[in-house]
Amino acid sequence: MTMEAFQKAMCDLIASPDLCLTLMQSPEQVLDCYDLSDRDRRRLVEVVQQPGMIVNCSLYRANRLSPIINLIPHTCFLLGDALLDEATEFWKGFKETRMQFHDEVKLFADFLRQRLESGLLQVPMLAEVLEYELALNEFRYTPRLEVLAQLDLSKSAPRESTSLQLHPLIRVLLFRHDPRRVLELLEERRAPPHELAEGEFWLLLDGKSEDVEIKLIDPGFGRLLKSIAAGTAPTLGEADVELLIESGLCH
Amino acid sequence: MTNSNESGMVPDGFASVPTLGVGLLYNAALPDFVRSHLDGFDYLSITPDLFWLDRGPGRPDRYEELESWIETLDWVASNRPIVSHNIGLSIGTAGTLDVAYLDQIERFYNRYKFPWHSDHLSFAQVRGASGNDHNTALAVPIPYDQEMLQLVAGRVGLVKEKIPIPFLLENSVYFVDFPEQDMSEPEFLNQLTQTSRCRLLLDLHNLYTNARNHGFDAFKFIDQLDLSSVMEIHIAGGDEFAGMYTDSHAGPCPEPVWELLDYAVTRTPNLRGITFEFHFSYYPLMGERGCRAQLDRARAAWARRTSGN
Repeated sequence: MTMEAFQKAMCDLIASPDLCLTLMQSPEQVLDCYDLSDRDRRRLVEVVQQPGMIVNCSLYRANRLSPIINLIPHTCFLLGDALLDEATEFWKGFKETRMQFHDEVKLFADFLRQRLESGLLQVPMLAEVLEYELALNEFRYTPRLEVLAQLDLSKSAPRESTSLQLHPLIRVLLFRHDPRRVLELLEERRAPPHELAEGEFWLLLDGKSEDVEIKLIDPGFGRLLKSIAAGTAPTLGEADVELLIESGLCH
Repeated sequence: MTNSNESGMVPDGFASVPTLGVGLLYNAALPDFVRSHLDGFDYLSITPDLFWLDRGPGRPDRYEELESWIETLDWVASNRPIVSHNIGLSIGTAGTLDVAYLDQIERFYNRYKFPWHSDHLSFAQVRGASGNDHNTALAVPIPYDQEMLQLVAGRVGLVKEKIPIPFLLENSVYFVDFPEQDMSEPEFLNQLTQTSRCRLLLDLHNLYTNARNHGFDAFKFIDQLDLSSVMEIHIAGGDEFAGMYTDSHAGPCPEPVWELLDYAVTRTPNLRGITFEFHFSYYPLMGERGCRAQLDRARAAWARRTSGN
């Protein structure tokens, strides 16, 4: 048991500079929480005082930031100085990571959504840019050829008129600011100006080919596709349904 | 060929393992490079964990391969041997070994027929408060104790039973020194290779990092190792972070690593490959020519290796 306890204590310390400080100031308070041998206790007391423990703690944070920075870079740019505070807050409630980039980012995104909804986080354009980057990541991790092959197979089956669905490799996103301008600036690592005019902009993301196709679409059409995705679309005429299927947007 | 170690034992498995030459550890920046510089490397080392999504233990559909990555891998595999450098076994974990992960490595082995595979002499999984194992977000070094030696040696046996090719463990970077260890690092590595059927992946940049941070002589460290167990050498670059030198794989190898390579290649009778590794984010700085230059320099070192390899 003691080896497992030692490893757990070591990892808890690496994940928490505050816990390292507590151990330095009051060793028993920390060490008594683990089933440790005397040698383990002496080891932990000594290692937290070594400069290398600061490196361990810093690397832990850098490694946990890595998926976030790599997969949602524009979101991170918009967060700016708030990124580290938000990430630290997120990690407090999500200590047990599996370090799967896809999952880590989805969970962090859920956390940001909650913070935005509750008003604890107020960053203009963050919500729409976050959803945009998440959609791109979904494509990155979707087995595109497998999905397309399955859809090809299902084409041979008779389709019920009520079962119109958005193609799994299509996303429609609502922006409150012109996404062309917002994304152009972010690509250049420049902050979009707060005074950017508000409006209703719908972006269509088509991930059916390796290079995702992105285009601005008519707001009415955007709302329709969104309602199809949500399963709340009004009943469509047969011709419209055929058109949506033929265009590859629905199935 | 010199296959005897100091104890006079003949290490098993060397005769059937091909001598490959210079390799490159694949990363996200390299799809175009590997296609246009196929003549620059003799084998491709892959971290298989990057080629799939892992939905977590217990899931029937736990592993899902990433199509675009697999496509490049299949192309390289039809042109060059592939060796596997795993990151998910967590061989030093005190908890349970992830057997499903090992099964997934076996599936990749069956498909790509690696001549050998490797992992790290550290742990990356720990039991959390929830009772489930989770990732440590950092490869945590192990203390060089007898108890740990027995644990790792036993697990090497399990790996070998499952995947019948040489299994190598890589010497770790450590930023803290555990006091009161039962043995030194070279003693631990020598005992491990002698008591288990494990071979050594000697990461010279990790060694350089440790020597620089902890103030010991890296050449003496090499002298203390049973070099007949070394089948692969890793070279890489690093940089300063939070007051210490780290194994960040930051672009080209520093000069002292090349010096260590020149020293080691002439002393490792069973060396099968030298692998250059770097973090993908440094590719724009290093560029195609910079990456090729590292491989070419590694090839020059490879040419100086002990005759009879």
